[in-house]
Amino acid sequence: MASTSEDPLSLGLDSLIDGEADDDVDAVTPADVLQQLTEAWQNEGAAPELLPHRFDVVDSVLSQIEGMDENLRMYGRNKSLKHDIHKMELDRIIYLNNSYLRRRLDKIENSAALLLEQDERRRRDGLEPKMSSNEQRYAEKYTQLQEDSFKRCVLDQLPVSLQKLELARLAPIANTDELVFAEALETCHGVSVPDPRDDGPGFEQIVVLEKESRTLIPYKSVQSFVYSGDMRLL
Amino acid sequence: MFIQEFRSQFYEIIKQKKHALVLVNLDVDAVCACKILLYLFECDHVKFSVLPVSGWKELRDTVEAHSDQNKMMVLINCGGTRSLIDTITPPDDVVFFIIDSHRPFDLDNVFDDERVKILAKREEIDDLNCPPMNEIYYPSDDESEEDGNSSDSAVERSPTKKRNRMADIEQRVAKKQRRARWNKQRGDHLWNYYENSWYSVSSALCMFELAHDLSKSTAELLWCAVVGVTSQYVDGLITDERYISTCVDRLRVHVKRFNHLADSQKNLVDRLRISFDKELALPLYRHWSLYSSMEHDPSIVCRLRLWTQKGARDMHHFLADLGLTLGDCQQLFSALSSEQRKDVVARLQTNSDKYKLTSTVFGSFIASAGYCNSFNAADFARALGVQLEVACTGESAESNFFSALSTMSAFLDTRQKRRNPKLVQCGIETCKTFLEAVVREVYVAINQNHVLPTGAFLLVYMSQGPDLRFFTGRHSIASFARFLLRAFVTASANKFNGRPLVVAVPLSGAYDGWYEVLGIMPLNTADMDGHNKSFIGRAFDRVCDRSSVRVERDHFDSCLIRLKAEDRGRFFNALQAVLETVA
Amino acid sequence: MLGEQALNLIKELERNPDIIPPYNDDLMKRCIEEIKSLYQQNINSLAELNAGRVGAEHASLLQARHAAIERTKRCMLAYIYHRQQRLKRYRWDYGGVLPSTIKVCLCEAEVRWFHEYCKNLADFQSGLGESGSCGVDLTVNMEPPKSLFVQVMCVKDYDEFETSDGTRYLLKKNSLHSLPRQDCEHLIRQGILELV
Repeated sequence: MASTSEDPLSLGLDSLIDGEADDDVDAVTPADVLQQLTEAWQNEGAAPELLPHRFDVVDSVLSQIEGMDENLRMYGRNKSLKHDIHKMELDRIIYLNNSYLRRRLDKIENSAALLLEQDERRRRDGLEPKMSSNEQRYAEKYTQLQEDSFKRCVLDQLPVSLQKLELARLAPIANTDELVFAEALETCHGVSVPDPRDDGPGFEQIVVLEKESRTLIPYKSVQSFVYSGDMRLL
Repeated sequence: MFIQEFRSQFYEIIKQKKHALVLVNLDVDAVCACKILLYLFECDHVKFSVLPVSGWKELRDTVEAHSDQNKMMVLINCGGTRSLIDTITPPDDVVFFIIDSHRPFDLDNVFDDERVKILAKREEIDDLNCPPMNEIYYPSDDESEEDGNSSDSAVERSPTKKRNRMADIEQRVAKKQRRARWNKQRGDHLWNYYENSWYSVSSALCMFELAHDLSKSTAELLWCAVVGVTSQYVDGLITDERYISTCVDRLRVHVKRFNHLADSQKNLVDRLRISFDKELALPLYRHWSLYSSMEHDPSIVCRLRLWTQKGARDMHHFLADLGLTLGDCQQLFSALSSEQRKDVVARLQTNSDKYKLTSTVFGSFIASAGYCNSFNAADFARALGVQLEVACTGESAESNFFSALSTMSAFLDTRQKRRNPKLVQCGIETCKTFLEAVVREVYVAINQNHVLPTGAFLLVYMSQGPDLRFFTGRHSIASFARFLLRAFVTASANKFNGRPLVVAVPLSGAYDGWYEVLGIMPLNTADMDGHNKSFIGRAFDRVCDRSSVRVERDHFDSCLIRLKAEDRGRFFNALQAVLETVA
Repeated sequence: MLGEQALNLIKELERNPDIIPPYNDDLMKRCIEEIKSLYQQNINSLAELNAGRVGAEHASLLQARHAAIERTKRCMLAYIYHRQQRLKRYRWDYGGVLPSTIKVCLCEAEVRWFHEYCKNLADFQSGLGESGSCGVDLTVNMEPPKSLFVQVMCVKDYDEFETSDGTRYLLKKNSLHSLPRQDCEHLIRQGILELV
């Protein structure tokens, strides 16, 4: 197994990974992947609704975690401080990953049926679904479990016309009017915000958010930019 | 074997192991030493397990249970005074590191080069005056050689056989005489060596100096060391001179160092500041009213004979003489204004000679951090000591150990930047209740003549009552004993100045029908070589050897034993006989 | 009063916010009976209305009864839903095995739900990763890690415990240990160890 760095215990994430990962065509460094994961985790935590999945990042992080673990185990027998620091770093990455997945699972469990419907609509419109295939399976199974248990405990014992239940209607809808802190990674044109000068809905202003500017803004206005990656939530 | 290089011969070796096992005695000094050692382990990511042990039996059981997994054990304030290998019979591959302030060390431990390593500096080794090894352990080479010679000569069938036989007999007789002389000399050495027991430098201080060696010392660790040293002083285990010399020689330089750092960063109010200053020797006076504190101080109680009816009036006269108003004295000390406080302290200091009050003032350390009350090291040590021994209902001695450890940790905790002195304050409140119980018991013992002068020593049985729950361990019983001895000697006009005191406390629960017996030295004991040496432990040992009383010598301090109630008559008679030969 | 039984269901849950109270089969049955009787009454009233035997003001009675039915149904569904949420929390905190003390409080459907939920979660976890073979345990690392080792005190006797790097610990009551954080997380949650 080729290893690009000479001193496997030198500080720096790159040195923990085998060099072969860098031979891929679109060479993404481990530091990049970690940065993307951090961003995705932050966004997911701050957004009131489920964001499009970043399972590409998750998958590469998982494979890198495996590699790091293996390396640490190989060099881990001497009790140097570097080993401990690397282990801490590995633990932190695992935490980030798990927390990201847990946040998504929480949101999926809260409104599984609704999200499935939304994804169906997105697929029809030609957009990428928000949930990964794994998550979709989870959501479907979860919805089915809920329906089953409701039926068994309550609904089957009621008169037929009362047995209808639409889980999608009952699920809580994310409050997209919630204010969030957002940072623009690129200059964003066409961000519409409610106009403060006129009362009533429908009056909107179009603003331009410069790159690296930070604003407190309703989530609705920046939703599309977050999806596309031009803005990130803090 | 003695280890003088703590860092290379002890710490580095422990660091290499995957897992360190620390066995700790239940006293304040050990708690402080343990805290320092655990801090060092945490810095270096060494995994550890800490187990408190209260006596030899528990030590043996714990070692047995863990000797499969842990081949290196650290013993703090336990295990030094008896032959470890003989008493505990550990497996052959287990190595013990002993950090113990009890003296003298058992000679088997000193001369065991492979399995027992005692941490001690040069001065202490010299202080110990160990007899040389060849005068304690018979050199076995000579014997085998001589046997070989004699057997060789027996095989020879020469005409000189008869002459050889004469030479043989002469040789054997000479050898026997040499052996007998050697045995006598050995007996003398052992007698002199083991005659007294005493306490030497605090283990917490040793650990702190190790931390300093590793460049990991902090103000918090210094406070642990300070509390460890002060607890020895408060318990009367070390002499005044030794306490002062330790403070000045070994602690002052560190205090200066940390204070200098603190001063240069003035806006960090949260930093722990330790200062060394003259302090009143009144127990817990900062957290109590002056009046209450004086009521519980041995020197004032004895001077004014507060157990008599006249005593309370004398107290008022005394305060009036000092120029202190009753109102000031009965208020909480912390409620007085700072001028009043300084005034009170100054008056007590200047007038102490006039009233022949010994040690009203002593040099002590004060810790202050943030905006909470500052704590005197003596009060802190007392609070921890009481927390260790005064068992809350349903809790065992081990959980008391951990509550004391967590009290220390909570006070010092800098990780979360939240210092929590609440636990210490709880400890101080418990200590107040304890001191009140001590004073009550002393008054009862004096007024109802519970102290029996039985010839060579003074004997007192503690009576059953609700206060008995306070007196379960060495610190508590010894506090009571010292107070009582002083009061009794004062009450009987110094007649019994030279008699040791033996206290017997009835036990309950699992040890129902047994007594906890503690002996302390007479008041007029002179310091020998600057240590508070006690022959009580040795006396107890001799009594147990001579008579067949049922006694458990389980504690690490040899002055404290457990005696079966039915055998107490025989025990004390035998003790009388032993002590008469000494006196 | 209409809908009072259903309200009792919710009140029961509210009175015990931390635990899962026993499944109140009795109350559920009464709610269902109430719904059925209201429904029957509605059908009768509707028939009478249509037949013109009663005035139009009875329509509001119909509406009131229907509202009560909907409310009771909603309360019952909420009851089941909240119990499920608490069960879910249990899986995340303590693991996939239900102790018997909790099992007796659940109805059969809930037990089945719990097993299926655990299975679902396990499928999801094992499906992560490129090859699908490296599983992830999402129930560990719930807090951001502050250090590699944590100091824990053992509050109950546990016997021998081996950590991921092979060190064996003898966990006896009243002993202090320093353990790698991940290995002792589930023991902390079970209450055998306590963070110092």
